Amino acid sequence: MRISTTQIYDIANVGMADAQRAIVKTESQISSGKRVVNPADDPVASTVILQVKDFLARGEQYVKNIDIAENLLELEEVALNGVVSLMQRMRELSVQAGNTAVLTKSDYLAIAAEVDSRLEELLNLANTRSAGGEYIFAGYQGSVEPFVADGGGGYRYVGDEGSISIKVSNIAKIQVSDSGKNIFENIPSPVNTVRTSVNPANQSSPPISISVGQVVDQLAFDDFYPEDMVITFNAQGTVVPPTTNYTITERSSGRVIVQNQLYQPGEDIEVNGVSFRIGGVPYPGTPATPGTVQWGSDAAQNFATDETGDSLTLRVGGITETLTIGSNVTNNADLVTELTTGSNAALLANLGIAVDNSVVPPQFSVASGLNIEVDPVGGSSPNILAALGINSGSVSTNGVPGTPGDTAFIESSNTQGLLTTIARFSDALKQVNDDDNASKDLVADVVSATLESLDLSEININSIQSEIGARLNTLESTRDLQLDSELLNREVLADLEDLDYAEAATRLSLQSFILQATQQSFVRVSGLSLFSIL
Amino acid sequence: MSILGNAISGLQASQTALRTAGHNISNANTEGYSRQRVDYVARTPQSAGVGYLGSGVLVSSVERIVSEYLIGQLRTDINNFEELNTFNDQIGNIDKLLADSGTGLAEGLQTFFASLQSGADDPSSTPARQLIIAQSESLTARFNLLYGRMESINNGIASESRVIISEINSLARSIGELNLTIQQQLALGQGAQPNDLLDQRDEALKRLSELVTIQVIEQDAGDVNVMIGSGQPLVVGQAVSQFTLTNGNEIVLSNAIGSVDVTDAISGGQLGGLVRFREELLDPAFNELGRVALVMSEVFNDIQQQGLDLDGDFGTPFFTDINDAVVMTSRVTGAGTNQPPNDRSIYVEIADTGSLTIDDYTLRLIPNTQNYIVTRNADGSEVTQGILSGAYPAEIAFEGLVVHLESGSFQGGDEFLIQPTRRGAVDIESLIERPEDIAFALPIRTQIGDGNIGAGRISAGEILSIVDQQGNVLPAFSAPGQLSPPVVVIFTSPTTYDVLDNSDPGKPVDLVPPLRNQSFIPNQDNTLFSTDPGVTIVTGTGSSMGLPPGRISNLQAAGGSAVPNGYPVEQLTFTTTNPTTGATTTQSLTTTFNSSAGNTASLLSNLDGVSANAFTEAVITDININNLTSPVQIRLSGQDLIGYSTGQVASDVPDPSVDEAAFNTYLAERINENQVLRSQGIYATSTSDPITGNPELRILASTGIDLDIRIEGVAGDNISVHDGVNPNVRLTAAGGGQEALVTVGGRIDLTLADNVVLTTAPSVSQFFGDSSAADFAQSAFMGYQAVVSGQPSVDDRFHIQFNDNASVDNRNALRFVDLETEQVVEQGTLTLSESYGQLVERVGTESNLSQINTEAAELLLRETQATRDAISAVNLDEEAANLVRFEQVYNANARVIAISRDTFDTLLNSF
Repeated sequence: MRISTTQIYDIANVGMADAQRAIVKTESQISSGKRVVNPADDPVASTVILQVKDFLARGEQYVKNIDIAENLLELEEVALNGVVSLMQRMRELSVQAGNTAVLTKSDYLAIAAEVDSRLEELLNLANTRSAGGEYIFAGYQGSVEPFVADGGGGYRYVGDEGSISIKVSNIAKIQVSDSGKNIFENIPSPVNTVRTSVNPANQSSPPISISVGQVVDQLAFDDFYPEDMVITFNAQGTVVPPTTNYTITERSSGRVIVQNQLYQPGEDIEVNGVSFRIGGVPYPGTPATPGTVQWGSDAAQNFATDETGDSLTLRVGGITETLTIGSNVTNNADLVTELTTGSNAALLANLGIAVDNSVVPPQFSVASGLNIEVDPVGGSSPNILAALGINSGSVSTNGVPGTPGDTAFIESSNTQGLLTTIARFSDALKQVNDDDNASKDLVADVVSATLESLDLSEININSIQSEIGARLNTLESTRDLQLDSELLNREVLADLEDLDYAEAATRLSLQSFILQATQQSFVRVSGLSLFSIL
Repeated sequence: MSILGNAISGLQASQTALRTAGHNISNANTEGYSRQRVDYVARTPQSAGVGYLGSGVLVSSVERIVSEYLIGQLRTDINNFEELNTFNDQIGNIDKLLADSGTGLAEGLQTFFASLQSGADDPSSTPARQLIIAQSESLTARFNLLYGRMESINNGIASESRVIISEINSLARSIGELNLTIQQQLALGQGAQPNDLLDQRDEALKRLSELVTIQVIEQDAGDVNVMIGSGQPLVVGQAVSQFTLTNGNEIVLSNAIGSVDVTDAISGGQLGGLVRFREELLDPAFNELGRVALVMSEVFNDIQQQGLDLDGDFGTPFFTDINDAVVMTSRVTGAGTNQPPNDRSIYVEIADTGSLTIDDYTLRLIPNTQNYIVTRNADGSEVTQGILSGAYPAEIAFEGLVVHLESGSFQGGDEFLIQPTRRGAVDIESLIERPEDIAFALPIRTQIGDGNIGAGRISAGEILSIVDQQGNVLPAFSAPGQLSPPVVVIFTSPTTYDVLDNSDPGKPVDLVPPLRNQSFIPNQDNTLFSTDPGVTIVTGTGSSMGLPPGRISNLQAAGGSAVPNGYPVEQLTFTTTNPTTGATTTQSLTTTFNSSAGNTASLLSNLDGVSANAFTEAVITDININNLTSPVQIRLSGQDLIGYSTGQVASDVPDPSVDEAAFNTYLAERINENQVLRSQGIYATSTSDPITGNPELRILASTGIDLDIRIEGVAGDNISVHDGVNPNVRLTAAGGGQEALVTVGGRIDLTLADNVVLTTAPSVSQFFGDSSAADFAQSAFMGYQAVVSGQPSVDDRFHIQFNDNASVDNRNALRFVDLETEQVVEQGTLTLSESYGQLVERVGTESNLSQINTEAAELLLRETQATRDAISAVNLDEEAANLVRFEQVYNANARVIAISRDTFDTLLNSF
């Protein structure tokens, strides 16, 4: 085959360029330590590498999360251990206080002093803060101090029921907090108790407050249990002389328990065996404007005909009553008497209608503020309507029902908070008088209730502690799993991505050899020219 | 003389040969030069009697040594190689760009999600939140940077194309000129080939092939015609067309006849490589990157806006709104050929990021019709088509997009390029500036009532959406800093509950629409609300329900059958519209005369998309029994309520004339203890009227059966019955073994699924009210959800309220974190990073393939080049040898002259 001079040079050029390119690639692999420098080098591997790296980065974060979760749970555990040992001391004190026969008032005061200081300690534990300054037992409201004294010897939980979780693997989230309500408040009570609260929708400013409340007459309260009570403040004008007053009703039925009681801020209120205090200035609500229909309002009154046996239908709210006129009426006085005596009186009472004689002519009046409809569906006798001077279907329009004032709730409960239990224990200890056997009996009762409460609290806290233990175990095993799979994935990554140095070095020396050989042969061949001899 | 003549012809021939060899040597390095060879012929001999005597040599021609086949092959191979090589050069840039940890997205996403994890671990920490902001800014910067780099690659392609095109134009011109010269030379040379000009033209054609695929057609007159693409003429004789590149990256070929867009016809060569790279790789890469940005913006914004920030406000968008007005307009470009006036207002909304593809589309309004068609640009396939009404605004929806033809002169023949994802990566911007503004908390929290006695639990609650289907904020979240309204779940029996507006916990009231008498299954998870965003409730407020006005009591012998409830025959038609096709299906039910609400409800519940809930409420008030002795009796659905013992009223029955409330309590207990009544879902409570305080006995039947209430007794004993809404009916006993009775019917509340509409005949239904009224079916989508489980007791309460002060709530943060592994792209098949990984993989594979192909094409090219060179290129050694040879011939001829002179001299000297 014929060879042209250009070819000799071209072949050398191409050969050297190829060899140099191969060397540069091997060099870049060696200097980076990576087999796959660009995705084009091995597209499949590079996609897997991307995924594995993603997985590893996430795994690293999960291990960090596990550390944080462990810290949080351990902090909680430390606090709860503190609570448990404190409860141990409290139990000792309770047992000691049970010796009512030998202990004196001063002994009780000494015990009470220790109980108070332990209570303070317990309050601090329940209001434990994390390193970041967040209350750990407040649910979601880390910046709100969850347990506060209500000034009446009780403690109220103002946090919520939220709990925080942390993601520790692709699929698992671990709960790292428990709400104070679950730990310290939801403790079964040996006896029925109450929980009090004011309506957040109250309009008074500053809002009225209610003490935690206490069952002072267990028998009376047990009769009432499990019903709840609502304390509603009424418009001042509902009593004479006008003053702030309240009504207590049973929540489920609306039945009135006590009505229009005069209100003294901070005064002990006892109802159904429950004692509590309300403070502040309540919003009284607005009084009802009675709905009235005055006789003769639609037409002149006409007593000309005999109304005996006539029927008159009236409706107030959903209630309709039909009154029967017993005799002929000839003037308003007759009419008033006819409507307000006998069975008609009872029917008017059903409707809440009073016949108001203070105006002339008299009027129907509904104090609750509902409106009156006269002869709503027709069928009343025309004579009696003529006597009243009111058309069929006539409705009063001026009635405005009153609006209730502030409300507060006393809800029956079968749980009692640990702090409140201990506060009440302390309170009972301080009430002891040497010569008052009743006070010692009370202490004995309270001691046994306290001991039972402490036991139940401990059961509750133990169950939460064991939950924390279980969570810590899960964290540990998740961490192990994470580390194992990290190891595995690092190997996969190394296999895919990392360079085999021995192979690369061998390759490099082969490639350098090729380059050298190409260069040398070019020098040889290019030196051969006929012109050099001519 | 002939000796001399012969020698001179030999001398001349050798000189020509030497000159040609010299020409070959001097052009040894000239691109495209083909070596030339001198051909000789012996001159015509002269007749000399003895025969013909040779008269020397004649140079017949100077030829170039070429293989036309190889020239063509070389053009093909170089064209192929240049295309692949250009493609390969370009892809190398983007391949590195996407995969590099410094510029690629993978690491940006990783660190962003890692910062979110740290935030979720410590939601109240400002530094952790600050880090998220920094990372989200750096992530969006990466998107923008990648877009910018790709855009500059795109611009580079455009300017490179421009250079190539001007080179094509100048090559085409020179080919045209060469065509002319060659024609002239051929004519002048009387058939002698202008070798060097031909070489030059071949070289120009080869250069042209490097740039773009051409077809070369030789003409008889020696000129060549050059076609490109599918036969568009570039050079015809001397006539040359002109290539231009428009701003829209379209390649236009223009000549005297007109202009034609040849972008799609361009293939091969450097220009073809650039076009192919842009279409097959760069555009999809832009779109894939844009899609990741769009999906990420949308899912993050959704969650962010459903959460509460550290200040207790609803979150403001994390990233730029994907349906910002300017952005929506930028997704569509009208073709330059659209007829004026150019007043069309058209924009593209992304309705569902999960359905987004990475395709571009073309919307065409078909001339002279109202039809439109949308095609996918990548393969020209039809995506959707339909008919426009001609009235604007109009909407066209497909593949997660809604094209809004807002207003203007849309005309047949209009064409619009739709690029939904193209600019996603440049439009994304991180909007959160204050660390407090990241919404880590959910807006709701749940609480178990303080006074609950039962063992019921409620889940922490979750947010489904804060907007309705039209994108308006739901009422629940409409006011800042509160849930509107807070709700309370109150159990009315161990298996039923009401969900009420708890704005005033002292007096919970019905929601709008009411959610009452819901059934509860103990020890199971009971979701409180519908998750269907289009759910509506039709409330059973029809005029014939319950105990309607005008009903009076009947009097009949005791033990007789019940009075019918009087419920009418009506036709109820439920129309379901398929949201994608618009097709409707209807289901009808004709109610049975006097059928109980419970029975009608269970028939209704059998229909698709309809769930009916029936319940019956009756209230007994104003009990006037003056003589509590036999035969006095109050009966509820055939069950005696007043206890008898040995034929007389039992002694434990409280006297209603003394204490009506106690009597009611007694009746309630009797009802609740009665197995027959309980099996009918009947539950009673003794209550009192909230306004008058009068005692009441409330009876609730959760099954919606008719409540048959009767009284027997001494004439005049009476009770009053109402249904909680309508006026009361008084039942007055008449004695003589007769009883007064009335039947209270139930009410039916209907829950209709999305796109289900109820029409009634007559239109004012006695079951449901006026079905043509605007508020007939009211939306009942709350936007949030909670689950109640366990065993609640009657009157147990569960609250759902606003989550204020929730500084350590990380529930929403965990939703952000979960997005890392959630498959939110491509119909829920890819995560964000997988979607990006897919792009990297695709580019990597293409890049790998193109390297291999380029190498193969290069080998082929070298092979052909070598073969061509073997035939046509100059070998200097060969020429050296030729020089020696021709010199010898020259010398020999010179010697012949010398001999001829010697001969002549000898002859002269002899004289």
